[in-house]
Amino acid sequence: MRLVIARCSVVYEGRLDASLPEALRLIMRKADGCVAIHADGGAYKPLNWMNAPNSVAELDDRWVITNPKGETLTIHLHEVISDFEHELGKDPGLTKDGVEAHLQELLADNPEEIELGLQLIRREYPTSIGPVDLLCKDSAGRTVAIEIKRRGEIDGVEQLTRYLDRLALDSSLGDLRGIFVAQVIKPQAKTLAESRGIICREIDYDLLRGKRSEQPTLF
Amino acid sequence: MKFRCERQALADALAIVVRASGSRTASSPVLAGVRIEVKGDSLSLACTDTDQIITCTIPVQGINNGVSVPRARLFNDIVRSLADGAVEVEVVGEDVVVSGGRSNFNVPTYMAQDFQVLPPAAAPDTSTNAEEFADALRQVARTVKNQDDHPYRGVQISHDADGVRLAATDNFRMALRKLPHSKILAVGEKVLVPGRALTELERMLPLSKDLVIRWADPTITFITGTASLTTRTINGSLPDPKMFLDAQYPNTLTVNRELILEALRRGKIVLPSSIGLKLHLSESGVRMEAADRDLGRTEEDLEAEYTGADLSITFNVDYLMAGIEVVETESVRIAMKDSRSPAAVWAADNEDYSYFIMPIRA
Repeated sequence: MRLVIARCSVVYEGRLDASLPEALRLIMRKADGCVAIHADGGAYKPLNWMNAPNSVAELDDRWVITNPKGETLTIHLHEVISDFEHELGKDPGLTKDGVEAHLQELLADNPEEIELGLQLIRREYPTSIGPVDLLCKDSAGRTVAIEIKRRGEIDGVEQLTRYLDRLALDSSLGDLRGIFVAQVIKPQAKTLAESRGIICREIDYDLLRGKRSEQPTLF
Repeated sequence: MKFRCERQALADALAIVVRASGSRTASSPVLAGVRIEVKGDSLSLACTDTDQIITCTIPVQGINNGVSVPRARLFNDIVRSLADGAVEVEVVGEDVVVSGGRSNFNVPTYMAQDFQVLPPAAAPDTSTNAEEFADALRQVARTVKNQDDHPYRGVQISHDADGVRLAATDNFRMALRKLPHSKILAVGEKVLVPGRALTELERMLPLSKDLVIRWADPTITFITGTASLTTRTINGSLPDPKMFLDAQYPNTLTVNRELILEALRRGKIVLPSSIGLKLHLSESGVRMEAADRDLGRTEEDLEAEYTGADLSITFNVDYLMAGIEVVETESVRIAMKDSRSPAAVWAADNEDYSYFIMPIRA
């Protein structure tokens, strides 16, 4: 990753012509070849950029970046304030909130946290419209389909309903019911679930992780 | 089915049973009904949600024997709204007709044969003083774990070498109450009764001097005069309180009950629920301290007697207050070992009631 802060002007020639007048900006040159020119504002979109693959000709007073489509980005450097380069290495990528997956794992290990007497049949039980998070047996021997969400909203209830409809086609599963599990369940989702005979359970993730609340217990 | 009676008598009987009725949206709608049966000059009412059933029998002027199941809450509302005096209730076709004064109501009914009755426990009667039982229940019931499927969601009645005892816990605290004169259950027996049923029982206890208990798992029946409650019991039992009863508590705070409750209420003003209130204890003085980052802090010196080592201990203020509020004497003892071990709350001069509470880590 190379970061150059410079007083620069930029000319882009390609599908359309665009130019940036002279000003102080940050020029980023990433390890894969991408070049981006940023002003001091805005979270993500550069003022101008060129994706990889491209070739960069670094001249004394300007960078000329050309891509295979024949588009060129010319950055005229009037004054370089700072030029800094650092190897970042490979990025592990964005992890989108592992809570849901972890909740599923924890509850698969302790189905009794959802309901007393519940026993796991399997995680990610396959159906033709996607896997059911947990399939369990309750103390009365009934099959229980469980959908786990971080936040319990209406679409989660709809999803579980679709699974239940699917599972009902398989008579070998016998009596069937659903439990909708989330850290917090919206009142509308609760109402919808209850109207469909689906039980709602709110689960304390921190407690489940063994992060007991600050209150020690007697037993 | 047809009978005549005083409106007040019918309204009182309905008030006892109606809260046990199930909800109309439940899988079995008939559970939202009240079963009324006339046999000779006696009327029996029953409401159930399949886990518990409450019945009440009153004398009436019976005209025709029979059974009917009108919607419970509706029937109750109608009877309560009628003018005082005689009420006549009669089945006409598929409706129950309720007449009183100048009013006439037609109430739709459910199929009586769909109404499943949980039979009373088939066991011999054991009897105890209803008032003492009510006091005991009041002292422990607030500690019941209030969660539908929790194994501790009830009050345990047990009879061992020390006599009969009621117990409840929610893991953070445990309340115990001895019934020194009671002979209910046999020695060695214990039963866990759902807190929900006991809330109903509390309202029934003033009806008679004696409470009759019949227990044959999986049900237990409580009878007070003409009313009875049968409920399924909870499988399992509460943890043994022996370790708290046998523990040594070398440090004792003795304080006027009202005085410490008032101080705790003041401390609670700056404490959002479940945050700890600190007691700084030494033989030269007792100080209460409550502080919250956003809501400020308060300190207060308590007029109290303390014997033991210097100690700073933090309690959940709600739990501490709940334990102290039900003490029946003017002053209360709080006995402690250290800031990390369970503390005990007792009356000044006896240990019939005990409340064990786990301090919070400060």
